[in-house]
Order: sequence, then structure tokens, then C-alpha cells
Amino acid sequence: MRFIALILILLAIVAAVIGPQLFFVVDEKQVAIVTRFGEVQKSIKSPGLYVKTPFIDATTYFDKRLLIFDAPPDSLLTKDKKRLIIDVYARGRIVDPVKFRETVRTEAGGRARAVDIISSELRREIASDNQAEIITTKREDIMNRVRDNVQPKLEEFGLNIIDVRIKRADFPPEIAESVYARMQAERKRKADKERAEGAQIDAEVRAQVDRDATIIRANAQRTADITRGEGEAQAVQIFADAVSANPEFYSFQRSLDAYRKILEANSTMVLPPDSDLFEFLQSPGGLSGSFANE
Amino acid sequence: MYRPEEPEVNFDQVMERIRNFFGRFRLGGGGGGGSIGSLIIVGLFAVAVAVWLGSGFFTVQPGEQAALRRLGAFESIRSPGLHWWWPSPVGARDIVFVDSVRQLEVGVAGGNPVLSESLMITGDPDEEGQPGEAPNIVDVQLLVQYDIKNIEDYLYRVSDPDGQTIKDVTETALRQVIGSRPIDDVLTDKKEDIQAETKALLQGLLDYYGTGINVREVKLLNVFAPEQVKDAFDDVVRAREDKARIINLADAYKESVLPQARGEAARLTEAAEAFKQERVAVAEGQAERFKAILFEYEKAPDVTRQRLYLEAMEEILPGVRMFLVSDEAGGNLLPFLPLTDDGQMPTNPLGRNQ
Repeated sequence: MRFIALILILLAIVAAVIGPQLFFVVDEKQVAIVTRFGEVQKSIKSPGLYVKTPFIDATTYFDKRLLIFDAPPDSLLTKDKKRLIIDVYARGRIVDPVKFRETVRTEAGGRARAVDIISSELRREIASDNQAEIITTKREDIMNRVRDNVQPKLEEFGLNIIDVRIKRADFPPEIAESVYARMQAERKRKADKERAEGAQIDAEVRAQVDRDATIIRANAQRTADITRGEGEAQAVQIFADAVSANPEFYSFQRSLDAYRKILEANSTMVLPPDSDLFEFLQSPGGLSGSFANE
Repeated sequence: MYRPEEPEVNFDQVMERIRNFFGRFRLGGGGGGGSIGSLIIVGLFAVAVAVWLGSGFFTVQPGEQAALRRLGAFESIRSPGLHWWWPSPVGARDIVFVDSVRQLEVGVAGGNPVLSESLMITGDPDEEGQPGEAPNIVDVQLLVQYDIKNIEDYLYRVSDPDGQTIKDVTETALRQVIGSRPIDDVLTDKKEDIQAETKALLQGLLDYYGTGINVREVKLLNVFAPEQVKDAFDDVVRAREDKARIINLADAYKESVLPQARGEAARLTEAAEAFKQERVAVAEGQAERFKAILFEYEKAPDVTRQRLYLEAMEEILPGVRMFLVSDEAGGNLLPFLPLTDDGQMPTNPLGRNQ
């Protein structure tokens, strides 16, 4: 029993002292290189438990994950001599930790170098395109070209860049001001156009309505006049038909009616005494056959 | 959203307690203590190992997943439930609430606008239709909702997946989409398209980077015209409203004037029809009246004629001022004229003509 206890204690001590020096763990997120007095012994890319020579070998870990290379926003000149503030980033990973360590030592160093290279490549690429294309249609092209061009250069540092993206492309403040001024002018034009269109439609609708109304009235007037004419014609026709039986009597009777109206009270009339009216006024025998002969 | 598991048992504390217990035992006991001491050391080891192994039990809550590593290497994923895995330092477990919906806001932070993020260029065409030649600036605020679809990728493949990575990618995708469209699309009727396009681009990049993130929704929170040009944009809206109002008024005019005209037309035609009917009726009446009189007249024309004549005269003459002038005088009647209404003769008519 004492023996077992002793062994356990010894084991614990050995494990505590030697363990960390003999074993090392490479995590899922990491790659590692083992160096002996600065000289690279091996590079380890898959995670797990590894053994090294205690106290002599040293391990350095690098991040194996997809890394962020974020370039600061930069004011760049386009082919058509306009300025754009472009903010670009890249994504890539350390694929060759040995090369990486030999060339840039640390992750921060590698990041700085990569950003430098990407920035200068971007500057060159932007200078060969017009502003409008950069904003709209060629964005994807430019990003792909920058990526393809920086790739071989960054390979020398053990880096593999899988993507370069233009995060932002903005106007510098002084250009933004002129853009705002143009936007204002455009909007004013639009507003004026809307109002003018409104006035046009208004005039058109009212004119058409007035036209229609006039036509409706005129047509009605025509129909009315025709109807009235028909009425008059029918009346004349009806009367003429009736009168044709004895026109002479009609003219007599109608004349009497007319006299009634014409000769109002206080009219003055000059009559010869031998007028038919006074036939019997002068002689009871009357004038011979006066009525019958008229 | 991510919690590295702490060992659940404080080893130092346990050891301290056991040592105290051991000390008391030594004081209280006599000979043969060495053997008992060894026993205690072995027992202590056994307990330590048991406690260590026991600390490997863990629970995964609903909606969570656990990713397990052994000696640094990813091994497997555990769903909700009670599980055991090697405790530290042999194993490691990362529990992530994968189903929780995370949010990212662009252009706005906690209700405050962030202009450096939200102001972006649109790709308006110029008069010739060349895209991007007349760019505008628009103020866009976006919300992205996402969860985790692949915990292994999320934890181990990409640095800062739901920090800088998703923010970078969202801004990139949004600005690329906005930059390819005219400002009126963005401000008015193409918001759905923009959301869908941004979402597709965003998800594509996240997948390409292997982030393990699933984009659930991309939503445009607010789209404004920038402060500097807001009034001009508002005025266009007002102009549209003015136009609509004017058209409405014109329509109202139309709707009031045309019925009025139709009413008037109906009045005209109806009045004409009435007139016609009236004339015909009157004519018929008169015709019938004439015919009736004529019928009687023809029975005794002379007598009737004279009677009618005299009746008429009876009616007329009482009101009329009459002068009877003989035929002989008739030739010289003119000098008496004018015969005035009040019956006064000219003072000396004969003296002038005879």
C-alpha cells in the first residue's frame, strides 16, 4: 500500500513537472510550429496531442481560422479623376505556418503586410476604372481582380486570401455636397413636373367635360327644336285639314275672333253709315242681299 | 452566446478539506499511522479521479448544442439532454444557444443613427441611361436576424463570426445592392427586392467564408433621403399629393357638370315634347270646335253667318268709339284726322280745306 501511494505521488510530481514540457495540445482553431533554438522542427496543421523534446523545443501557435484583414478607408483617385473613399477588407487564412513565421513573425505583422499589399493593389485597380463603374457594375470584377493579383504576393507569406471585398465606397465630403446639390435640383425638377402634369390633367379633364356638356346641351336643343317643329307642323296640319272643308267660313269666323282682340275698348273706328252693320239702321228693309253676296 | 465550461468542482477546496481530515486522524490515532496514511493517499487519488470524471457530466438545454473537443480536436456535437464528456484538460466542450435569434443593426445603434454606416451611394443612371453616372446618396438602416446552422464552423472555422465578420459582410452586401440601383427603387417600391437580394448576397458570402451562420431575415428598417436634401424629397411627395388632389377635383368637376348637363338636356327635350303635345292637342281641339260649328253653320249658312257677325259686333262695339261718315263726306275725311283718343275734334278743320 505504501508502495502504491509512493508511486502515485511520484507520478503526480513527474506529470506536473514534465507533462507540460513533453506534451502539447494543438487546438481545432490553431496551427503550430515546433522550433528548436529558433530552428523550425516541424509544423502541425491538424489538432491533437503531440510530443516534443522537453525544455529544448518551443511551440508557437497561429490562428488557423479565416482571418480578417481590414484595411483603413482610403481616398482613391478613379480613372476619370474623381475621388472615392474606399474601405476594403479581405478574408484569408494561414496555410503555411512555417513560411508565415519566417517572413512576418507574428499575426499582427502578417496582417499589416497583407493590408499594405491589398491597399496598393486596390489603388492601382481603382485608377483603371471610372467612378460610375466602381459604384455599380464593376464592383465584383474589381474585387476579384484585386484578389487574384494579391494572391501570389501573399502566398510568399504563407497566406491564402480567399476574398477581397469593397465594404464601402463613399464620396469625400466636398463631393458629397455637390451630389446633394444635384439631388436637390433633380428633385425640384421632379416636383415641378408632377405639378405641371397635375395642371395638364386638370385642364384636359375640364376641357373635355365642358365639351361633353356643351354637346349634350346642343344635342338636346336640336332634339327639342325638332320636336317643337313637329308639334307646330302637326298642329298646322290638323287645323288645315279641318279648315279645308270650308275655308271661306273659317276666314269669316277667324276674322271675327281677330276683331274681338284687335278692337279693344277705347279704340276709334270710322264707319260709313251704309256699312252692312247698319243695314237696318237706315232702312228697315235693309240693303239688298248684302250678306249673301259677300 | 458562448460559454467555455468551468470545472464544476474546486479542487483546492476539496484537497484542503481532506488534508484537514487527515490531520485530525493523525492526532487522534497511534501506531500504524503510516499504513493508514498511504491508504488515505490512495483514497485521495481515487476520490480526485472520481470527482474529475464526475465533472464531465453536463446538460444541454433545449435550443442549445454542445461541440466537443478531445485534446484540441473536434469530435462531435451533442443535442439537448444529459451527457458526459472528458473534463479539462483532456476534453473541452462549447455550448452554444444555436436556435436563439441574434440581431445585427446597420446604420443605427440602439435607436441612434450612425451616419457613417447608413449613408451610401446609389447607382442612378444619367440621361443616357448609363448606370452610376448620376449617383445619389441615401440613408439606409438595416436589420439582420440570424441564428447558427453549423456549430462546428461557427466555433472553429472563422474568426469573430458574429462580430466583425457578419457586420463587414452585411455592409458589403447592402452597399453593393444599393449601389446597383437608382435611389427611387430604394426609397419607394423595390424594398422587397433589395431585402431579398441583400439576403442572398449576405448568405452566399457567409457560406463562402464558412461561418455556420444562417440568415433568417434581412429587413430595411428605414430608408430616408439624407438630411441635406430631405426638404427637396418631401416637396416631391407634396407635389405628387397636389397632383392627386387636382386630379380629384377635376374628376369631381366632371361628376358634377356632366349630370347637370344631362339634366338640362332632359329638361329641354321634355319641354319640347310637352310643347308638341300641347300644340297638337290645342290644334285638335280647335279643329274639332271649328268642325262642330261648321256642321251647324252649313245647316243654315246665311242666318248663322249673320248671327255670328252680329254677336261679335255686340261684343266689340260697345267699347269702341265710332264715327259714322257718309260716302259723300268720305272723300273729305282726311281733314278730320287725326281723330284723337279723347274725341276732341281739331278746332277748325273746315276752314283749312274748303
